[in-house]
Amino acid sequence: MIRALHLSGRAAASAAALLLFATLCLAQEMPPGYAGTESCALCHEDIANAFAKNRHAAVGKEKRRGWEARACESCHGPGLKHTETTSAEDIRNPAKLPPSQADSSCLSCHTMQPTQVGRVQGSHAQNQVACATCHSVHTPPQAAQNRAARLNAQCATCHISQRAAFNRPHGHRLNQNAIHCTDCHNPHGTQMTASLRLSTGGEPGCLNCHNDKRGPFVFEHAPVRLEGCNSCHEPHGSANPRMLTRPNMAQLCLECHSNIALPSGRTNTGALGGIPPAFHDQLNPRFRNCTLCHQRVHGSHINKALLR
Amino acid sequence: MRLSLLIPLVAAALAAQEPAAEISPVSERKLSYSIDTGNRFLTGVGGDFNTYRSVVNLGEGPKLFGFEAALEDPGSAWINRLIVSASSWGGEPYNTLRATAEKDRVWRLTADYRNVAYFNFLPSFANPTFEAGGGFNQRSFDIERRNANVELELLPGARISPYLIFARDSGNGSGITPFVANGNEYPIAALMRDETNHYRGGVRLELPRTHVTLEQGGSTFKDDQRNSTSQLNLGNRRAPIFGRQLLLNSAEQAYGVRGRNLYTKGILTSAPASWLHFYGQFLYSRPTSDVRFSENADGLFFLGATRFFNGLGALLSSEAKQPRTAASAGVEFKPHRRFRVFESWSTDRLHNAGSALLAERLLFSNGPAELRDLFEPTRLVMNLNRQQADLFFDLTSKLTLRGGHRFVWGDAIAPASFLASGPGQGEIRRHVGLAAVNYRPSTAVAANVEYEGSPGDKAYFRTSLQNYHQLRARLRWQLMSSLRLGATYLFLDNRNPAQGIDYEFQTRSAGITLEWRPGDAKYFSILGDYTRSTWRSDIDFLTPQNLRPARSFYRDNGHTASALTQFRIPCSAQFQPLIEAGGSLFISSGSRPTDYWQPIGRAILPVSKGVSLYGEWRWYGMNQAFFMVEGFRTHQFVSGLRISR
Repeated sequence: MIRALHLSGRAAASAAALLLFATLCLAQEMPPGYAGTESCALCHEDIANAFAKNRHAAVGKEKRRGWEARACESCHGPGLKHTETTSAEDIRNPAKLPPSQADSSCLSCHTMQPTQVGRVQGSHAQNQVACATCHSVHTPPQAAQNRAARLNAQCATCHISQRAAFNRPHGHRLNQNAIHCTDCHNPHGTQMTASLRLSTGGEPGCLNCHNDKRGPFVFEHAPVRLEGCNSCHEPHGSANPRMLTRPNMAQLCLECHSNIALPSGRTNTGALGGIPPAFHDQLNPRFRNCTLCHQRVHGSHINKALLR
Repeated sequence: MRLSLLIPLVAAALAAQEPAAEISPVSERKLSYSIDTGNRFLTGVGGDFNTYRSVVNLGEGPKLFGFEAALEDPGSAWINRLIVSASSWGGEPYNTLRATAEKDRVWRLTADYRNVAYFNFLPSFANPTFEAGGGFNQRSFDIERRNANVELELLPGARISPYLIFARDSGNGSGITPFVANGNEYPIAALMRDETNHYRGGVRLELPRTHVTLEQGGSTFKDDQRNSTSQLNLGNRRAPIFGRQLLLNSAEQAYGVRGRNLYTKGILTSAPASWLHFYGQFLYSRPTSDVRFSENADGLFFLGATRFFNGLGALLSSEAKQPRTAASAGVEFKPHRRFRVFESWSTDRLHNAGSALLAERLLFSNGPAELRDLFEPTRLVMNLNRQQADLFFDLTSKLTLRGGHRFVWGDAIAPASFLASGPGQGEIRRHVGLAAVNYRPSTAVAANVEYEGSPGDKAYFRTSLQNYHQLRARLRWQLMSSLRLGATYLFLDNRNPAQGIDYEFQTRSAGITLEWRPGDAKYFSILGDYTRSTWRSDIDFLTPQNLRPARSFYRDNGHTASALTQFRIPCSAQFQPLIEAGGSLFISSGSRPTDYWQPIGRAILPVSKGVSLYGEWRWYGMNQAFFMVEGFRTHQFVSGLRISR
């Protein structure tokens, strides 16, 4: 038993010496303190193999980024000491760092991308959601099938209530994987509330699919421009038809259209929106279904009252 | 002894190698694919079929539920990756197709296509005779929206990377829409067709510490809706006026909307130092619309007083322009390792100006025609600005505090409301306090609590955010390698105490999710979530017919749950059938009580390596206490085959 322990101790010492020597040989052209990717691969073989298929492997092949043959150390920092001691204390592990410090590695390259332009306005950066919470740095990209399902499931790990809303009967077809969360939201942040994407013309991203409501209309319905679609719709899902925020039209419309206009252009309550004329008798079901007549409620090219 | 000899040998061999080179991706030709195909059977839909189609809309027949093929390193000098995926083909209401092809660092082409059927024919919606037990939805649609997007990027990842994007969105189908004529509205058939093409091109410049994207784009839009009828139609108003029944014999409306837009966009991101990052964006767009509209109808229409007319002809020409300037800028500043500052500012300014010239001709059976001209100019102006500052402090490596302030301000001029002498004028002005705590006691746990609140000042609309408090809390906890827990809590309380409004809005939502995969789901796994949500809204409004104040109440108390459990039966190393059971449910009470159930059961039988047969049962059932007629229920069975390699 003692002999066996003695042998295994000797073998371990020899292996460590071999590793150190190999590292020194491989690191001979590295900047001080760096060991090089191949040294990392000697111990972290599985990660290295997976990483070779990851897009980040390109970091180690590009001279201009300054990390040639040192892709691992571009995020983990100089690794020579770690190869000598094999101690976890001697290597930078972004997973154990505060998100702001972990993300600084990612942002040293990825700041240079247009998708990051709304970063400081986005709630993920504001709430310390690290890049690696969503992105896999080491593993190869997964197959494209069920891309929507995978994206949606990933968002749902944190956004539970939002995902639950899609189980209501009237909603966007997220559960059918016809769309995914990132169709409407940019998780890196935008200048819009809830990191909503913008359309190409700078309008809310809803219009990317609902182009027929884009306008510009001669007769605009002010809330559409001033507050966006969710002043009337629950975009994730609703128990109400058409994803509306109220179960019937009259209730939805009259909650805003109950102001008396003043000669100054303002209203008695200070809010925008007038009141329907008196013949809109709410005892008559014709007038409780406002969009029967005001069918161009998103804006009209023809009629001021949005009738056609 | 042997080891000590081996070391110099290995070292010599290593030293003799070329200078350290990066590990290359495994360069082997690899084709992988998977196919999921089968046949769906319906037992028949009980209840209202139109509601079923409006909510579920899945049909019978052979389907391609999913397909994917990925080819890596095909051996061509021009391409080293091709991925094609498709889902839900064969008469399904939502089809998708996506393809990505690329040559690393040379080009990348992404194409995405979706076809989403939009059928909406709920009997209770836009149906003025619903309460009397009849009628139908007079604002219904049976259309398909198709979106296609093709993006070509050259030299991705290089210092200069140009790109071109073409996107097309179109809608095509039919429906019912009311023809609104003086004193009555008549549901008539509608043919809808719209089409938008977007063209974008730009270049991304990546300099050592700065990135710039310049983009120029444009779009064209057309909408050619046609509404018509040639049958006698009494419309929704059945009560005679002065003893005469209003009616429509025939009608035709033709919309010819043409729109175009040109825009210029610039994006700048810069990291001049590790402690300083800049972000900025600018966009200028100038969309315009030109419209030609014609309308002809004959019947009996009410003109006012005691006059009636029999024919109507209208021609309209209108145009609208909406120049828009939007810009945003942000800075991330790290003066100290533990201290950071986010500062951002954005502005969005648009000015919509339009005019419509309408020429109408009214025909009388007993007199000469009357001609009318109407010219209506209109405008809408919006200036919205936002400034926000956040200060972050890492109290410890596991605890981060955030405090901040947001100021939103702007003004708007809106089209004149009814009886107003001029356009409406509104203002928005809101100071918001921000605070958050982020706690990460270990890599397995992350908790976040975020608060924002405003005392309110000025808002555009009665239901806008005014005096509000919002709280969000989230927890992610990896209890053990096989067990993950997540929880969220959202709370929003918004009030506008102004006289005539007295708005009180409150929503709460608490959700929990759990994933348990013991033994890496070798025999069993479960993924489930449950959310409890409540909405409560009270607001004063005026009853239009007598201007009496009334109170509008809205309540929604919802329970939502979904789960999927998997049981693997280890009959042998090769043959391990999988049983799945779960589904989702939504139960709510309040203003529109609704039960919506979607249980599912599935059995997957492996036949050989990469080939499996499966059978699936689903049940869709919806019930609404106040709208019993809109309930439906159906069983669906799917038998299918999955092949993967």
